[in-house]
Amino acid sequence: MLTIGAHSFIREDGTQGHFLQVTASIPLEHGLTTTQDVDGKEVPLVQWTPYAASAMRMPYAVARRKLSDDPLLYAAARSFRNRPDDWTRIENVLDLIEIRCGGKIPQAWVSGKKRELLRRTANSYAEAGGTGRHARPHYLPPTKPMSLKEAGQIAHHVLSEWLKSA
Amino acid sequence: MGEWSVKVFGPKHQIEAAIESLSGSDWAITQSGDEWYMRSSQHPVVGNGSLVADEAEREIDRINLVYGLFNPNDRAC
Repeated sequence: MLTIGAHSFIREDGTQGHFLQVTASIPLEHGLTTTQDVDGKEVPLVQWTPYAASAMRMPYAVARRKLSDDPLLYAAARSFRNRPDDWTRIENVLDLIEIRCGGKIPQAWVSGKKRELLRRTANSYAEAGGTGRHARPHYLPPTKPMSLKEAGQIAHHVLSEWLKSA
Repeated sequence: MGEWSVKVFGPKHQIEAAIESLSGSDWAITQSGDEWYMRSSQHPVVGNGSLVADEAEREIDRINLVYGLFNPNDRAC
């Protein structure tokens, strides 16, 4: 984000001049990734920024900053927090984190199988009922749907992990 | 650009979490006697206290949301 503040002044000869102040604030959160040749092989090199190093010790600060920098995630997380028993809100949180993760939530947070079952249950008229997402009416309902309680726990866990991750 | 203070309330352990939450932000929480204040000396809002209060309220909401998610059995007040 760039913040520009300008102040004008009058010279002795009556002409007008300007001071221009430019302040740059660039949030660096993930460190810089590049590649390097090591013994003829190209390996990834991650240069962690000072912020990222301290962030790993400060999960509250990382999480607040993520919510502050991402209004969509903030809205989805807030909505889920207010009604954790709503299939649409559960699915919205996971959908958004999936996008932020580049299309796939890390396996360590939720298995691909459970993620798919949750998605299908949330989109099923028969299972999710009035709070269901129903964005995909042709979705096949799962034979063994996920319980709402488990879905809420998964969304809570994934959201917490995403917010803590530097 | 001025310094603004917004009085905050809460149990001490939640105040401590808020102090950590605001690390690296434009806001900081400081103690004055028995009271806690959220202060901003870098906030770009000039001249309108209600805008600052709105921004402070949004920050507190984010802090409470994070606290609630990380501590599901101890929801922020």
